[in-house]
Amino acid sequence: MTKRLWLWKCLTWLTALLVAATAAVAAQPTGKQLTKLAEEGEGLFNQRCIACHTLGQGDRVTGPDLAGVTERRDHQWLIDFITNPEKMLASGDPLAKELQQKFPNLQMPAQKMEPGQMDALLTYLAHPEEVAHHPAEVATPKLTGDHARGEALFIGTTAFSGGGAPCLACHGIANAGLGRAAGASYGPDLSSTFADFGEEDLLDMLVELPFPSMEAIYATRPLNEQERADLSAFMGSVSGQVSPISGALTLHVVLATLVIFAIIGVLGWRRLQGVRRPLVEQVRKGKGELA
Amino acid sequence: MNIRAQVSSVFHLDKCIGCHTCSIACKNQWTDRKGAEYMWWNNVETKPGTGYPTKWEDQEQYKGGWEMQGETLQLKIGGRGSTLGKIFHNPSLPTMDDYYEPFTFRYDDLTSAPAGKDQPTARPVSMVTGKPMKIEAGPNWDDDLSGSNIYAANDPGVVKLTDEEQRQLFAIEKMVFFHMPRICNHCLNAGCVAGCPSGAIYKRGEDGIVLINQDKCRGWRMCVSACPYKKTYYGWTTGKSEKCILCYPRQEAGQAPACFHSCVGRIRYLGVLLYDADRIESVAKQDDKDLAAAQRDIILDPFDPQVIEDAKKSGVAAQVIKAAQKSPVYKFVKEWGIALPLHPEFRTLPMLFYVPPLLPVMSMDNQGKQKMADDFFTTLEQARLPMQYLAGLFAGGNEEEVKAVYRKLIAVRIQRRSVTVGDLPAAEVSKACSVAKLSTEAVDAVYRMTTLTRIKERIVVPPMLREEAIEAGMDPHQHRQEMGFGSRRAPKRRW
Ligand code: SF4
Ligand code: SF4
Repeated sequence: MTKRLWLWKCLTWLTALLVAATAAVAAQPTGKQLTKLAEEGEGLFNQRCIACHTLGQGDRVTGPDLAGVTERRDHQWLIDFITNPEKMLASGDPLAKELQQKFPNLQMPAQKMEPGQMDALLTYLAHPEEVAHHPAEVATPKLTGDHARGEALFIGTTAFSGGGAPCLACHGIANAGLGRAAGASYGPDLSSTFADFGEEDLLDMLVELPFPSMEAIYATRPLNEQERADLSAFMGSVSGQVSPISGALTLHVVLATLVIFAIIGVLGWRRLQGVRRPLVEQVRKGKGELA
Repeated sequence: MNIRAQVSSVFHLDKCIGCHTCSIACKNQWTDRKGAEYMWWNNVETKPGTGYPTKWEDQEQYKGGWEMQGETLQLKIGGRGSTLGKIFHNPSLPTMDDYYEPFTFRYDDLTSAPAGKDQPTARPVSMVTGKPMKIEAGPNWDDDLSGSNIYAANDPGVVKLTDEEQRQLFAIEKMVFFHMPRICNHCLNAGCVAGCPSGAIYKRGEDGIVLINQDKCRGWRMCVSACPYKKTYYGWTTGKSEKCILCYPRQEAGQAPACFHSCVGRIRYLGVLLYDADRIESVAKQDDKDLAAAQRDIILDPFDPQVIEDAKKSGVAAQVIKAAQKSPVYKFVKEWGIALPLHPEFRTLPMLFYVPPLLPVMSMDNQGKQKMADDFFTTLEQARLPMQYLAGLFAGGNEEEVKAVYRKLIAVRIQRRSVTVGDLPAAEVSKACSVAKLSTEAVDAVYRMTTLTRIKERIVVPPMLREEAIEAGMDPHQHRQEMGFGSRRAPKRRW
């Protein structure tokens, strides 16, 4: 073998290696592309996740902190969990179970993702720093809410300006004695929502509508800022309050049941006395003996 | 005049031997199923006795039949309003104990028990719970006067008698009884039909058979109360009531109902009667004592040309009128007047008639001591079974009604004795006939019908004309192809 031939061979190998390496690098987004994906992901995060999750500020009662989650969890597991947490739980996935025990208050709603959105979200979770240089959104001055108006909005005596259904249609607030008899049980009871989420997240949630069933109702009939503030004020005012009539109500139900059974009992008292047995008894006692 | 046809029957009580063959024939055919064990569409009772269910005749207890309230006829359980008020807690029902808890025996244990010191036994078990039980009652618990100090003594008819009469009735070696088979009477003014809140019970227009529509019945059990004869039964597995159907499927095929067909004593007669349906209400409103006569009165003579014409106008088919002319029931009830309805005072106008039993009545003075005609009629008052008791059963308390029947039955006796033994003067015989108001020919005919007739004469099943009834609703050819045995749907509610 000549020296030259050997050189050629090395060169071919090197070229091949180089091509392969470039291709490999090209598969991972870099630079501008990465930033764009991460930004899209941030949007999604703010829209859907932020109500319950944080990124780097530590766990909350509603959900774990998601900083570094892409390292902690398997890629496919994340995708599966985000798209259908309930199914994961049902399939007995140990991690899902653990999470459920740690955050028992709220079941994470399944997230419907367009193709590409999942990628964007995961990219953002992996590289939140990519969007760090964005200017922070200008904080709007906060409105103060009126809790009486909030209650009226919640119940529906005052209509939402956007035409959305009153909250009571789906949610009750047991603490305030709302929704018990009417069976407002389509959505969860909101007694502790204010305490769990805090005012800011509550307001965010009303804008972002992270729950699919709420999204269907309010996406096209949004609440205005004042309404959101009023609602938040109302929920804040009833938070921590103990249901005023829960004891009395139980007592009433028990009493009413007793009365109903008593009436039925009285009506049916000695209704069917039997005929034959008394005859036999009579003779046994000697009263029926013939003269 | 609104003339209708009614398939009716006569049971000749002197002939019943109390063998219960009829009950078994019926049970095997119709009620041998889970939930129907206690239903005895046909049962045979011993009288005096409380019957089945216990004391069924006591309407203070069960509120069956009709009563007069001022000028109107009203169900004893009450009108529509009060029925509705009691719909969930009807207090006038027999309990399971008043019927009996149906039982069977663990026969398997007899052959499959492991070897041991003692003979294996077949323990009685409840057919309701399946658990071992103590048998305390049965469908004929007081059969042949068993437990008479409980059952016969509490017969509602006996209780009404004076103490003296009761004592005589129960005197040792003088006690008498007779058997009384009962089926649904297919009444003209049926209490069960009127009592049903769902309108599930109906009387077939063409033959008067009373049926419960199993699709419509909602199990309110008002019919159980309203029928004074307690001949509708509530089915615990189906949640529907059932009753005697007079074997209409057999009759439609030209056969006698099973209990009639199998009757060992040949006591049962069946035939069609023509009656005036427009007069049902006025008859039902008569005084107790006049009811038996009034009921006889609305039965029309099928030979009367006027009646025949009217019947045809009312839509009774010519073949049915012909069958009515051959009806033995017409002879017993109208021509001879020796069959009476059971408890006419319940005012349902029952269409099953009974020839009251003569033997227990006259057996006091027998064994040669019998003096003829004169004595017979004068001693009726001292009969072994008080006339008042029989009048309470068959004539709403009217003793004259039953006595009239007995005079006729005795006349038949006297004449037969003169023919077969020949020891009576002719004057004696003709006197008996004239006292009984029966011609010698009629007496002969009664004798013949009672003893010599074959099944075709005793049981005259009318042509049921199903094709015509079907034609009213649909093409018979289509019916034949599509209906099969009729629609059969399982009840929604099962246990
Ligand atoms: S005897 Fe028959 S027809 Fe008469 S009321 Fe009773 S069930 Fe009805
Ligand atoms: S089969 Fe005839 S003789 Fe026997 S019990 Fe029945 S009705 Fe009487």
